[in-house]
Amino acid sequence: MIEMHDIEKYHQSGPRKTYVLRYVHLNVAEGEFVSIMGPSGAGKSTLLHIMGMLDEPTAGSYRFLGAEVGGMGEKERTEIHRQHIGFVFQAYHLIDEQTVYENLEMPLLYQKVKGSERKARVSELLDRFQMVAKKDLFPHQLSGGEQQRVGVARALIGQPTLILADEPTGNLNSKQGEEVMDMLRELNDEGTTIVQVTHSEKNAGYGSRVVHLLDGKIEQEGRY
Amino acid sequence: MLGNYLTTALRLLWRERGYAAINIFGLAVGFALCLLVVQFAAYQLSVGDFHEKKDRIYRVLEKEDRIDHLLASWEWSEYSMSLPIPLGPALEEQLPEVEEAVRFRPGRGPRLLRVGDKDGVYEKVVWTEASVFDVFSFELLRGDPKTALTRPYTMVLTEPLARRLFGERDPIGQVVRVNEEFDCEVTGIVGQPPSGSLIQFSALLSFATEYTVNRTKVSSSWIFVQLTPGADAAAVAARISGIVKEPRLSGSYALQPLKSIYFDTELGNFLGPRGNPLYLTLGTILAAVVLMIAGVNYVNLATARAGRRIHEIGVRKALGAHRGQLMRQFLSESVLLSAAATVLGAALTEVLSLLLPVIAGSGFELPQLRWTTSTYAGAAALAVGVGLVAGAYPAYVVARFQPTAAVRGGRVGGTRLRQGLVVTQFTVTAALLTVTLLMWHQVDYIQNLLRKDSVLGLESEQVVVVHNTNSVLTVDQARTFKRKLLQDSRIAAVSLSTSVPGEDSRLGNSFEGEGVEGETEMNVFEADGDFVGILGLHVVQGRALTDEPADDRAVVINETVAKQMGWAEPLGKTLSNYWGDLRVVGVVEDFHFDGPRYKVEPLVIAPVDDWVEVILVRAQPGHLDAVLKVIDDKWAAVSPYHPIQRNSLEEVAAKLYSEDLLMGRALTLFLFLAIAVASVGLFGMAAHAAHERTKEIGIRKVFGASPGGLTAMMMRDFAKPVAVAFLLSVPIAYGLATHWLQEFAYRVEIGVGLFLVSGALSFVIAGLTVGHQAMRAALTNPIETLRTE
Repeated sequence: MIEMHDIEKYHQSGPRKTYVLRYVHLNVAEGEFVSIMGPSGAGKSTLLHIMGMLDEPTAGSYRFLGAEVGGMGEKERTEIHRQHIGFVFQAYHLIDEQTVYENLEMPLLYQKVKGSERKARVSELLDRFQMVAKKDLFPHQLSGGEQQRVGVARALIGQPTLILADEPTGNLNSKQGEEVMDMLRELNDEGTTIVQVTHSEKNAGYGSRVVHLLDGKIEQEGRY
Repeated sequence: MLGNYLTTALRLLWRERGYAAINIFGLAVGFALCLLVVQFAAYQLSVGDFHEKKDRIYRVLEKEDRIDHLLASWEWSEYSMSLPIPLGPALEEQLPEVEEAVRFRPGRGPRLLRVGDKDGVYEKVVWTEASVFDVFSFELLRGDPKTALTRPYTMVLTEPLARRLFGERDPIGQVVRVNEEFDCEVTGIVGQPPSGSLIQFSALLSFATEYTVNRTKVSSSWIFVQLTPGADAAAVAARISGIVKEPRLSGSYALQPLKSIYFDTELGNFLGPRGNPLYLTLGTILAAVVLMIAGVNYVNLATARAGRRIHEIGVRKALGAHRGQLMRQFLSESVLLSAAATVLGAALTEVLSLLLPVIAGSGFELPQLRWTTSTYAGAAALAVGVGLVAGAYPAYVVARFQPTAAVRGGRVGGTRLRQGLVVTQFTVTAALLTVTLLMWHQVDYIQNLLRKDSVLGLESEQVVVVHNTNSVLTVDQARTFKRKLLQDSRIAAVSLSTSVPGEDSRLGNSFEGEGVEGETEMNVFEADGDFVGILGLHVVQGRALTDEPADDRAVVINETVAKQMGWAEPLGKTLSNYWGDLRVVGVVEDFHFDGPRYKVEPLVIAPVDDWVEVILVRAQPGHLDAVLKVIDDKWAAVSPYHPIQRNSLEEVAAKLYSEDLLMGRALTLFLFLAIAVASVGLFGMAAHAAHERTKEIGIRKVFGASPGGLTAMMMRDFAKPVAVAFLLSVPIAYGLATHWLQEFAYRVEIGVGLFLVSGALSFVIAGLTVGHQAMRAALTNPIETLRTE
């Protein structure tokens, strides 16, 4: 699904290049659950952003489902987003002015899904994540765990094939964190590919493979 | 503590300089307009202050018997200022409270004053008596104030005029030829009346002169009295009746305070400047509107931005700041901003006072702004006042924050209020826009109207109007002038007339129509045979007049006469008055000789009789410059000493709507400023909204929103208040426009189209303002904004 070859990302300041990522080769097959680990500033988030096409590498090749992302236009990339990729953020990033229901519905609006189907899919997810009673609440009325549950649900609503999670449990206590990780594992069991960035060995244990990043380079890869 | 507030405020202004610039700019424009209006008002209100005894000077008015005027138009005042000549001295003698009485006669138009063989000059002359110096504070530089204006044929010149006429020579005892009619001896020199004087003149002629020269014609004068200190004007007025017995007097009088004459729109001031309270009111309202829009900008932006300072406020509260202290801090910030705006506004005022005459065209003079202590005090009061008023709400909102909410990072309330204020701003702006559009539509309509019926049309710039001021040329001399002009092949036609559309020298007369009961008031142009042709009037029946003796008793009428007389066949009918019977030989299509404000009235074009006021000359195409020179030369030949007074028919006819044009221009200026200030405010709000929503926009992008869709979403949020504002503005604009249009007998319809155009413009203006911010926000890379906190 993901084929990255010699990906580089650097900031040019004068004659100096500051590398965020370098010599990154990484393939992720469909159905994998990959955890990216490493200390702060190692380039984990940048790698995830490049995978999610929110950022572009300065050099190297990135193929998504066999297509070279570098040659795509804005429209094509947006199309892939909508159809294949779901995001989960550490800070949840829910829209404060919208209710749980509206937050979940939002990606479907951008995919131009019909009203009746939107309703069905939002209801299904509310049900599955046990949020039916809270669908009319605003984000600030929820606990952190609940907010992240909405965040995961929102990432799923577009029925993506790939979920990118940036420290999904970073702001949660351990019990809430476990809940979220269980959800991700369940999704992976159902066939969704997942790439997560995490600091926690325990969370990494939920996945099938670990990639260690240090100073923008892949130090080692391991399997669980 | 204040120092602390000020340094914080200054740093904040610097950090948020974009917003500070918006606020300062808006307020500065508002202040500049206020200062202009204040200066305009101060000037207008000060007219008359030059006269030191102004509080004791009154104009004597006679209350007219209203029954006499039942038939007159309703616009007539119930007072008259024409009073019998003997009343002046009689008041002085018989009423102890009257210290002095001054009588006046104004000259109709400027008079030609000439010394020796030099060319004369046209100057404003007022007939009056010696007491004028004492009562009205005019400084007599040379001569004896007791005797300077007592004898017939004596005059007092203003200093500049004396220098013009006599140069370095001593003018006292010299002789000036007045209007080629009589000689006057110079008995004094008076200082030029300043602009604060209600009486303006270049020369004063003794009242006795007018009495002697025009003994038969002069029957009345205007009388001003100076009362003893503390005298009761109403009581004095009540005792005037019976002092002079004359059957046509009603016997009821009033004394009008000197200062109120300037703004008297009914009787007016025929001796000097007159003000129009309408302009003053309108200017005040418009300046207040722009200032209000600028104030709203401040309230909106300051309240919205307070959210970004929530942390600072929380910390201050946690460290023990009271509500009052926080409010004081925010108020001192707004006053600081407002003070900066005042300084900029004052500078802008200077620029605007230079620009205004250019924009408004000639004839619009604005007195120079004088920076006196009171101006400074006024500006300071404005700065502090606006700062406090505009700062009050944001300060209140800030002080109300709960420290816990502040530290947690909540949101600032008042969204509803802000929306309401934006709607108010745009309502006013949209209404102003609609009214201004309508005004230009109407001006355009007037021009077309006048062009269509030839008042302005038919290459009116090719027609030269030579003014025969004070009948310098007799009718025979004018005919000679015409013959000489026609010898030149570059001159197409010449016509003599008593008037021309746009000139107020028109006559009126009562006629009895053939087969019609009673008399009808009709307007009269006395003009020769070329008049109809030179103006390009359309003859619909019969023919124009000729200069043949057979046409001595012939007239041309307009369609309205025929209609009012009920004549189906007007040709050959007669109109009679004291001239005798006049036969109708032609009918011209109605044309708007009185401008668009009045319905076309009955008009009779009769042959030239004993007086010519204007000589119209049409140049052959392409020869205007040469023809002007020919006219000047021939004029100098037939009328030595009289400088020629001429302009084009286009200019004369433009007087019919010049006031509307001026109003349109002034309103456009205000409109542009209002739009600028409102747009800048909206821009600030859009920038703020975009900033507030960066996170949301980032999230939406990650989940598949396109930049176009996001831009549209942000613009939709602003479209709603603009739409509401526009709808609210419709009835306001409709009311104002209808009110204004009522002044015109000929007016445009207020159609849906007008509102469609102004609505579309409102949206375009708002869209352009908001669009840039929205687009910038929509194009931001989401990873910039969603970086984990």
